[in-house]
Amino acid sequence: MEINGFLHPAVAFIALAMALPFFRGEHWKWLLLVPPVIAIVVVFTATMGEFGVIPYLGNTLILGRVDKLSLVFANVFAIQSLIGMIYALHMKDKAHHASAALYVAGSFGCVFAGDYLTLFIFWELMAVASTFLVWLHRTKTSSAAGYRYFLFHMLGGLFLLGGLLLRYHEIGTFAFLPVDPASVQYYDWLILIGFCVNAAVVPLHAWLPDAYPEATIPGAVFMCAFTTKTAVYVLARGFSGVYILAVAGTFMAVYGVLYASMENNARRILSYHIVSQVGYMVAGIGIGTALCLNGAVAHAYAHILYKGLLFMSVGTILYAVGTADLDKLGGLVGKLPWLVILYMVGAVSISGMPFFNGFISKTMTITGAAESHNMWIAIGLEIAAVGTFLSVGIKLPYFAFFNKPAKPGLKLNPIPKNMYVAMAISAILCFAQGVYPQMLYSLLPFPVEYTPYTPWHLLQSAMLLAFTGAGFWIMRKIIVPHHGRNLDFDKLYRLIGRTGISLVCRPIAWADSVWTTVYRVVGLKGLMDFAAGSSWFDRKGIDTVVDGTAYTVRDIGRTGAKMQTGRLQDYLGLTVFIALCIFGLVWYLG
Amino acid sequence: MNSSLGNWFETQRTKNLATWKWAFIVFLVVLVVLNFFIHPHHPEYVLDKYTGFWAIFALVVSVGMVFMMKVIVQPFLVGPEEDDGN
Repeated sequence: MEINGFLHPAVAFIALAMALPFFRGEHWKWLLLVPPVIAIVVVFTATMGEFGVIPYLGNTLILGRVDKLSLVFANVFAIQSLIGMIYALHMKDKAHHASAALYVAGSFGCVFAGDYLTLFIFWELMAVASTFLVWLHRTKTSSAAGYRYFLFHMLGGLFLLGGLLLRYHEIGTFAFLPVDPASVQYYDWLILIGFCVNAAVVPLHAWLPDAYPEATIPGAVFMCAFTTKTAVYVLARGFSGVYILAVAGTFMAVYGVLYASMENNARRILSYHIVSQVGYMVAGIGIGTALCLNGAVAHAYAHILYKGLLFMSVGTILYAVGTADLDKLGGLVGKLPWLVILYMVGAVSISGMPFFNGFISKTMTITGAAESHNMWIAIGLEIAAVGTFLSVGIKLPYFAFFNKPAKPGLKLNPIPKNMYVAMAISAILCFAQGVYPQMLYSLLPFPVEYTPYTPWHLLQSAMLLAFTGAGFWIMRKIIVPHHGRNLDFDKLYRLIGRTGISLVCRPIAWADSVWTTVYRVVGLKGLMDFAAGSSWFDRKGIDTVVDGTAYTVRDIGRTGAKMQTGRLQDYLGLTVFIALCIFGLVWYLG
Repeated sequence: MNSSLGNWFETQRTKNLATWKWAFIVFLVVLVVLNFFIHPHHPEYVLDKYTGFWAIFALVVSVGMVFMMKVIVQPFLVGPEEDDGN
């Protein structure tokens, strides 16, 4: 849809998804790269303004609100969609590519939506399409996890729908505008809850570490980039300065690293770190100063790149070895050295090591929190920074790559080159933004007044990371990963679900039991008596009349037959007898 | 190329491990020494004006986090993986 010079990137991805079933041959896979390239061209050439304004039922739908905030998210979405498609090029499953394309289309639709109704439609498209990225892994656990993921996102969508309809009822518009933090209305809270589900705000987060580790390998790469970051965008757009988000974000940041420190599955470790890293963004949005908002947006941008790289690296381990459980891995550094290097670029980026993009964005958010006198929030984010390096920067690579020799006779599945190409692009971007932060600054919604590369910032970061390494070395025999699944809020959801079902089912079962008794005592007995009466009437009434008539006719017939002997003298005698009877009757009556 | 790089990493992981340990210890000491000369212009957390604060902070938080989660918390939380029965 070209609208006054703005080609909505979602259109290209939807067109790809619809055309995929008709592609034949082997070269169709190269067409997967066309929509991302179109999206990149669009975001780098787009002009600010509102496009695709559609009157609808007395309201206005805006498909293309293009401004600094939407463009920065669209920018990184476009780049990551290209990286994701390159990573998935070797896959022949068209359904997977179509799901990924629709998912990306949904995220572009959300980012450019200027009204809640348009946002909701693309929001749900994302939820449905991403569910297929879990289901298409085609395992028993992925089916179950995908179902739970779908249910939870439908619940979040219902909160959003309820909120936007009530908001429309109250103020008569679907326009997606910032709320006043001083007067958040009840319908705003409903919308906020819907957003918080997708942002994985604790305790609404458990769908994420439940579903992402079960998704397909490229599917997890897409999912780690789009769902939570779309939610970060809408929070930044609509709820900046709502302080409860600052507290919730800090809690997320710490909660995620605590769980990651005891996890065994590498993809689940990374999933918990999404919760943690998104916590930084949510905290920055909640504080709401220009520096914090810049930090949150910059962190979202950087996070998409380095988290995508980490999920690609760990996905490659899963592809090559067949498992992502740390207790089953080890010694891969000798067999997959380039993968180790690429993984470590992502790991040091997420850990905020100087000269990588995480350092720019993370310190910006923390400094913003500290400068706005939110000391405890800043301390919480520093604790999360330590935990991040501990788990993703040291623990995961140590137990996957370094701690012991590789298993004798370990056979690795050959890794397609396109996977390495995708990871290399991500790694280059993580490093480039780290050494040249202006790449990132030029995209941010507010002018940047922050200098990351000061001697103190460098020394502080180096001390944090190095002494975290020392802490790991002290605790290396305790932090050993163990096979098992740690209890989280998803178990609570299931408990609530089962309790809810039993709360509904038990009264229904009781009412059903009472009704059964009443029916048996009253209804069934009455029915039986009625049946007995009907049976009696049938026997005594219907049968008597019908059978009696039949018997009479039969007897008359038999008598008549007996009387027809064929002899003339019998007929004459009978005639005389009848004549005498008639004569006697006449004489008697006369 | 893949093989030679892998062999180099294997060598560092095994034969040169002691060298890396000493290098790491020296690096830690250098950082603390540097902290005597480099301070924040405006301490943001009060305590960070003291030399070695962030070193102690990182060490205490990392050790404490592992101890709390792996020793105290995880025994109460851990259960079987969902696909263990498959």
